[in-house]
Amino acid sequence: MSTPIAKIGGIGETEFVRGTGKSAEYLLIQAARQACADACVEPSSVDGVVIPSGKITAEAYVHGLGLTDLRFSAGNAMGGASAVAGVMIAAAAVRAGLASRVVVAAGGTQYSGRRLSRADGAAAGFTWPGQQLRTHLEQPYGLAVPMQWYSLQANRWLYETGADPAGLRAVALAARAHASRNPKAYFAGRPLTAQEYDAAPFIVRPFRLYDICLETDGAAAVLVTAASAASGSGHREVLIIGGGEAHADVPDDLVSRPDLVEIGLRKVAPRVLGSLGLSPGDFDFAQVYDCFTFVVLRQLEELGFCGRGEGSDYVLGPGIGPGSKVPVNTHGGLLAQAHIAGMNHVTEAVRQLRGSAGPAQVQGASLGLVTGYGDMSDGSLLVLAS
Amino acid sequence: MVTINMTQGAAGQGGLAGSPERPFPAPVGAEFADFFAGLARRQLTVRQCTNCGTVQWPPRPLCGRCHEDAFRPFTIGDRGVVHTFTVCYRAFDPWFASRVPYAVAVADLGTGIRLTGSYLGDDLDALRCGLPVRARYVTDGGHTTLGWVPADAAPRGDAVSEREAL
Repeated sequence: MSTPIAKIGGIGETEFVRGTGKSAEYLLIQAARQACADACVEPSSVDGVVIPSGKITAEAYVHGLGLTDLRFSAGNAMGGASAVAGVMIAAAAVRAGLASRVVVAAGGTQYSGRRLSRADGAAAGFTWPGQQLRTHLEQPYGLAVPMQWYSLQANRWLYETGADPAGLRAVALAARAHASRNPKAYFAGRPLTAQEYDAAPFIVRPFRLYDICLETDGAAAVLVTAASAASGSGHREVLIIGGGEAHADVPDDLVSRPDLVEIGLRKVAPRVLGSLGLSPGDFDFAQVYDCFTFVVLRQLEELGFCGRGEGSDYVLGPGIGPGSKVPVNTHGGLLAQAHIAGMNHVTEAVRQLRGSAGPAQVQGASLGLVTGYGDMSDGSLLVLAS
Repeated sequence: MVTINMTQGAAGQGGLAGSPERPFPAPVGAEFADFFAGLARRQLTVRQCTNCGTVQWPPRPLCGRCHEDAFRPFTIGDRGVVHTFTVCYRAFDPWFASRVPYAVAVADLGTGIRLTGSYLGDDLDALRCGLPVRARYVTDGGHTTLGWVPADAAPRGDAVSEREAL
């Protein structure tokens, strides 16, 4: 194994709910404090923070954690790819000696705050990459939210590759099968049948209701420390051995991207896996950002589980559900556990590698990958080992 | 007996107090001014670098080839082929909420330029990648927006589509 970059010393999660009176700042700080407690370190000893997607300020962490010497702070803006990319920023800061204990928390009030799915135009209040293109060339035609952008990709992908649209359903069913075993999942104990999937309405073609992720209030956090740091937590050590981010060509305008189906992961996955000498089949599990079923299929393709246009064949054949060779989203993901901006994918990966994932535990898990996906197909990747 | 469907009337006219208006940039950004002025003249107007002649769309501050910053309007043909599309059964904007299902087509106009517009064909099921289309310009409430109809669709005025107002 290559030299670890850093390790994840602690993880924290608030409760995941639909409906809260708490602020995003409150939830993020609570998750961060729990990550410190999990790592058995004093919150006040944190000396670095990474802030994905600008949901909180560094100053709020100074107050919320009682910091006296914040030495490193950074933010990024890659939508749903921000959390995983943020963990790599923290790892790089620790590796470079800029800080020794870096908190990365993500999530917020996606249900009780400005809710993207509302019909009242709330989506127009969000700021997206290439905002002028959104305002001038898309919103006048009723294109306002990510599920609509990615449906443009999905319809082109179906046309170019002849892929089986049943792959979308297979991803939805697998997510619910995983979540049904997870007491913390929104869909705990509620698996989905193919009949229920097919009976649900189209929201934006080809996506039906269960192709689309949840909206959730809640936060999750990790504490990133040096690979060599002593640990008093007693948890099995979880190392960050690789990762990175990438942006598709024309990253702020999907419509004019020469290869409209391209995603950022196309660039970063071969780079990271190649440098580690790993193949997709080497992983014990994969937590793949799943805002929509379609983006799971495309990411499996670009991770190398199968070729472009073969994502449906992969999920319909080898499969990604419980008991498959490489289970995907063992917690249920954004589709069926909760939308915690992808940080719940990271905390679940850490639990799997510690052997503490409960009924969802993949036996003997020691190598896992996590992806992030956001904005106009930005991609991020994290490789973890224990 | 006269009945007035206030919901439809309000949505169609966009003029009653409190009724939603179609999303439209206000004010139109400087880099988009020629494009919107072109739509009002029923033309597709993109940009051309005055230094090297590269045609640019969407607008960027600098030419992607020579990195100069001066452009002139450049009119392109308004027939193309559907590169991709979507059909929306739920709206995320009040004006569109009364118009579902509505469809959007992204037409490839050649030379790498693609433009998004409302799909105004009669049959949403006929919308597919590869469909030849031509522009149909819709002026409503002082704004002109871009629509796409099948290239062989009847000219406007012959058979007015019920989707025309989109």
